[in-house]
Amino acid sequence: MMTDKQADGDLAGPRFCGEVSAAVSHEIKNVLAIIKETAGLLDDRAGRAQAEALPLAPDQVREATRAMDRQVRRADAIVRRLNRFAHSVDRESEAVELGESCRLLAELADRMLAGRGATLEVMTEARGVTVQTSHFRLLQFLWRGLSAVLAAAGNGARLQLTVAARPEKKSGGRLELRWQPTAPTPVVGPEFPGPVELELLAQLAWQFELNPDEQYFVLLLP
Amino acid sequence: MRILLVDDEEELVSALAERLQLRGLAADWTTSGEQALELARNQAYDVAVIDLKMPGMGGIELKKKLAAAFPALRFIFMSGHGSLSTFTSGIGEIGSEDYFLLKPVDISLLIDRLRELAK
Repeated sequence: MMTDKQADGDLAGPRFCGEVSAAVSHEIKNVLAIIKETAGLLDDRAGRAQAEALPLAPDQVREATRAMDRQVRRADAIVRRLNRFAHSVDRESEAVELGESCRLLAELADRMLAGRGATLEVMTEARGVTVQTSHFRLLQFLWRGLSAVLAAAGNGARLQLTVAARPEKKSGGRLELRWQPTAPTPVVGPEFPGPVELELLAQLAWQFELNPDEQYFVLLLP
Repeated sequence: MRILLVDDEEELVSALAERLQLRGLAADWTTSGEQALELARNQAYDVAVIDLKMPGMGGIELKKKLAAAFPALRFIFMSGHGSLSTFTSGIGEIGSEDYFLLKPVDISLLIDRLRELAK
């Protein structure tokens, strides 16, 4: 019989997928709402112009078409981001370019960050740092870490995620997440890593260090 | 009836305000809870239409602050969020699912709800 811990472990990946999908669907709903209101407004203005037997102002039409075009491009970017996330599960292990992966994480977490009034800057100290690992599990681990840090840091925190090579080794990569709350807060460390993340660290031979006093954590990938 | 619309999506909330104005309703809009509180201090509103999930001050927090400061103010929530917990907490705060509208909002339905609340 499955224990609660086993069930939590089994559901961790799907739960992560659910959270990302929910965030994306929320954004898409906003895009659709804007397109609907813009189209409705154009229709209202056309109706009024017709009722008054006046021409519809071309600048009003262009304003509406440009607004809708902006939203379509926004939706396209959202869907492409979701697609990149969806394909992160294609392989158990693959070459992952850490800078790209962290930028994808930042895009996927945009709504989560905005909800806390927080900012996340992705910095790369070295270009093209590539590791052989599970891309999906990496995103899952970092997403959890980000959630835990945001919960601990409070609203308005500034976060910086830095990608670097591991000079002591010929391969591998180093990810460092630093956070800065807007107001002095008691140094309460994020509740991370949990049992699921500890399991991931062991399975994937990653090393992890959390320093709540200095407000950073480091993930070392082989 | 004077309406205050609050949503962090400026293109959405400004278009919605103009559509209400074209239908003879007085509507002001803003994109943050802080600005909404400022507007409400300077202008009397009958109904506030608030997006549930906004960066910084969320819809429920804004509703509580407005309700405390302006007891006669009525509320409608809008949400693009599909989760049961969001729906439940929104309904719990607003008191009726009639005043919890899912995005994209149908303007005729919104106007019906506004008129109900204004009675």
